Amino acid sequence: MILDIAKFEISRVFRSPGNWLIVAIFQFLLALIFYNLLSKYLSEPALFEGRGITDAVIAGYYRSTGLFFLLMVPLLTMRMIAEDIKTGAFKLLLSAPLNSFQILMGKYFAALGFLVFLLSIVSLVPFSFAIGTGLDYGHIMACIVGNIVLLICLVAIGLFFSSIFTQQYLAVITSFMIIMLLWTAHSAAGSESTSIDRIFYSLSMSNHFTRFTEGILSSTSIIYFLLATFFFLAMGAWKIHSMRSIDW
Amino acid sequence: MMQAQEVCRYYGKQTVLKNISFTAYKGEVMGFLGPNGAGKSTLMQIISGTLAASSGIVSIAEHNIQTDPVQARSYLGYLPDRPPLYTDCEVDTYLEYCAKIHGVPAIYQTDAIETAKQKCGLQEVGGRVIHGLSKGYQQRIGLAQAIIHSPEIIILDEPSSGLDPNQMIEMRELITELKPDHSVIFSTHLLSEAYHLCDRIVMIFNGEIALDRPINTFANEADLEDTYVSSAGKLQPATVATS
Repeated sequence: MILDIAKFEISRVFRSPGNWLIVAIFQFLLALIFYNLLSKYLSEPALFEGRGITDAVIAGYYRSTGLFFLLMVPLLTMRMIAEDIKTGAFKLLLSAPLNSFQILMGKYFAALGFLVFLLSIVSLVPFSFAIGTGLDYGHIMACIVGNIVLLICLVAIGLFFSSIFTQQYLAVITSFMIIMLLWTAHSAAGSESTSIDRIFYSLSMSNHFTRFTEGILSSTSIIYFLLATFFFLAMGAWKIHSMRSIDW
Repeated sequence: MMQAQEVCRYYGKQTVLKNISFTAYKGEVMGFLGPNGAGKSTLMQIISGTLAASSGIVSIAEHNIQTDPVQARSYLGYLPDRPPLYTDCEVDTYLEYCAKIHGVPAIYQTDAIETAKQKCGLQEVGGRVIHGLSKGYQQRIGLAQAIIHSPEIIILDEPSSGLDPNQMIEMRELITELKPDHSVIFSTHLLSEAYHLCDRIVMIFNGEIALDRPINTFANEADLEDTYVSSAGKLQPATVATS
């Protein structure tokens, strides 16, 4: 059932012109960033202190990809539940022999599938370097894993807020606010490294994401993203379950 | 068979449904009559499992819809007051999805889709995108999703709404056709429609069942109308109900 919902939802994601527009803008901006990083690397190699192309250009490219995902995921997920609630189509799922978890996971895998597809397209660019130079594939894989775990978490956050609001703009604004709070949590920490500072640092999504783009496959960071994902998915499933208690 | 026992629904201090009890049997068409705001739609949402009752029990084929919801809902087909459509899809794609989520086995899905389309007069619009179709067609697509898995209980919330006179006749013929193998529960504001279609009439006023009688106990359509008016008069609005 989860797979059926996911397949249907992903076909709807692909047929939405708005999503293609987001993807086109995303690709265009990433291409610009990639071009800038590469031109700087070629014209001013001293700035990069002898770092290889993977570290200097490709890691920066994947850092930018992650930053764009922060903006893009709420835009993609905002309609996935909120719109269905608003149009009444969600009653089809609520009256079908499905539980809340199946409904949520179907939509979750659809959004995640689309975004991973997008990540695989943008990953063609760095891999194209392999034709002319040697690459640090371990580092690239860490960058890709970092983006995937980031997506896994962001989609869970986006879907939760899509289930909370019937107005899509509220879903996107609140998702984005929570994502930004998590992303910048380290900035609330002082410089004294107290236990509270450490908590803020460990809550910071950007700290964990940066480890991957530095080429470190950190199990702590993977667990961080998975725990956040589990938390927001559980909240989303609870919200869908509680929809049967309210008239809408 | 569907059974509702002492079903109540409150919104805060507001009583929307009060001690609703009835049983719907296979081969029977049951009509819910009542004014706007009487609680018909709320009751239909509760028996379809999309809304929880504040108290009371709804069981479908002996499965409690609260404690065994997935199993209970597998016996249901539900058309809400607003058809639950994905308007960006083609009719065939939508119906295929409905068949899947209602658990129709893969080998029977094509037949189920064709049968539902044929029953609802949708053969010619299978490849059309739903948002380009008229309200009448959209209502029929909503009905097709409710019957695609041939459920034991079919719940239709004002199925004639938005249909032209010809389509209303077709809808009535379809309900009559569904009757032998299913239990059909539908709501309507049209007394003549209820009189000609139903085996039993349940009148709901202010969230309470004012009357539950077989249709053959009414002498004629005028008798049904008189009974409706007199039942409405008996129940004073103690609370404001919303449907």
